[in-house]
Amino acid sequence: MQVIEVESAKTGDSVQAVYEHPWAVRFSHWLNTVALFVLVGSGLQIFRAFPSFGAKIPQRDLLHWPKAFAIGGWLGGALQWHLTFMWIYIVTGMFYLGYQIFSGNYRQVLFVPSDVRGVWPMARHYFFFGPKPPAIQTYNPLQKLAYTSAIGLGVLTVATGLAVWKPIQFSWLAGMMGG
Amino acid sequence: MDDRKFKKMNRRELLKIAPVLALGAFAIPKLREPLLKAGLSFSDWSSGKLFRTGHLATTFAGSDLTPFEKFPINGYDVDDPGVIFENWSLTVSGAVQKPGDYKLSQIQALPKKKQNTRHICVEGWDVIGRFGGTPLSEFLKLVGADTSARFVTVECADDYYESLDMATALHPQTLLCYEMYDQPLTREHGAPVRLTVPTKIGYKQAKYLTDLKVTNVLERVGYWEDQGYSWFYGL
Repeated sequence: MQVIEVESAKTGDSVQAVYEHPWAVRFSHWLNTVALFVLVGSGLQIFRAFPSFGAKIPQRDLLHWPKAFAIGGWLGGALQWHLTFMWIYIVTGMFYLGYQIFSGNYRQVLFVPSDVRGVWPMARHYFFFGPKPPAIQTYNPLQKLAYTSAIGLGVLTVATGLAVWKPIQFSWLAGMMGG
Repeated sequence: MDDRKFKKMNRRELLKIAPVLALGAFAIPKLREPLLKAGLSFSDWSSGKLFRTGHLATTFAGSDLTPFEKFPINGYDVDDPGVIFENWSLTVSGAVQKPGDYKLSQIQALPKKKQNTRHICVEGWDVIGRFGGTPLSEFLKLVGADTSARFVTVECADDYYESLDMATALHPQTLLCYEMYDQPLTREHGAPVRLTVPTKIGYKQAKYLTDLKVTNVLERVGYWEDQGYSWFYGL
């Protein structure tokens, strides 16, 4: 949370304005939004390339994704988009994590063991009309759980990508994911 | 709080995330191509850095092999460019001590290696095949190649062409392949000699070789690469 002092025009007193999210967080979220959009779109085009060799080796498509909703136009083009935006995605992720660690901001959003007991009361409030637990920290345990697991998922997307792209150089990673 | 002040501050805060708009360059056709090319080149460069000669492709038991008749035949034009075997030789040039034409028997006289490795296509399919041949490094030794040169390029009977970085050319699993499934290569699979490079994607494994060159300069990169695919594409 970013607190800024501004002067009130009415009274001349200084008041506090609050930006809920620091610049670095908003910046990396917007970058991520674009990068993920491109990665998903080009990924679907890459997925579309899986060929058929006729009756002898039949095609087994998991789904038939329409070309209009994919990025890159052809396999080579999609790979260019994918192999470019993966770097933007990775650098953004590292920038975000670096910011959280060095600013100390992570204390607000990192789900820690002491948050575990707050999960159920919060879930009960959200989904089963339970009483609202008192707000004792900036983000409640469920919010922290969501933020923290998003980081876990982000790391997983990079790891699965590496395992598919470099199954020999990162054979331990590919092996961990079933080869 | 003062509305005007707040708006002004909002604008300032908005400006701070303006660098995101730089990504809009990808929407401009003139800039898109060089940007994506740079992204691809950077991926190739880092792939080269990640490559380790000691990292071997997984080898498989005979029971894991894809049956020979299910091994896809995936040429870019013809399945059989009509190589006349009696006249065939591999023409070697470039940074080598002994350039010239090499017969199949000379290649077959070199140490032989057989391996069951995975053939992975950029289109998303993969099969496990049995490949036999001589390590390319043995052949490069025979012709006295300067292994400090950067590339090994090949040309094929069907106008296909490819290039490998020297580190991959010297990798122990990179073969001048003349057998599949313990039989001489069939025409569709690249007879009489093809490349087998299990540390790379399928399109790097050129068939029906006719020419091999050791060089520091790539006049052209590869059939698919020159249309926009990745050059290094190491797995």
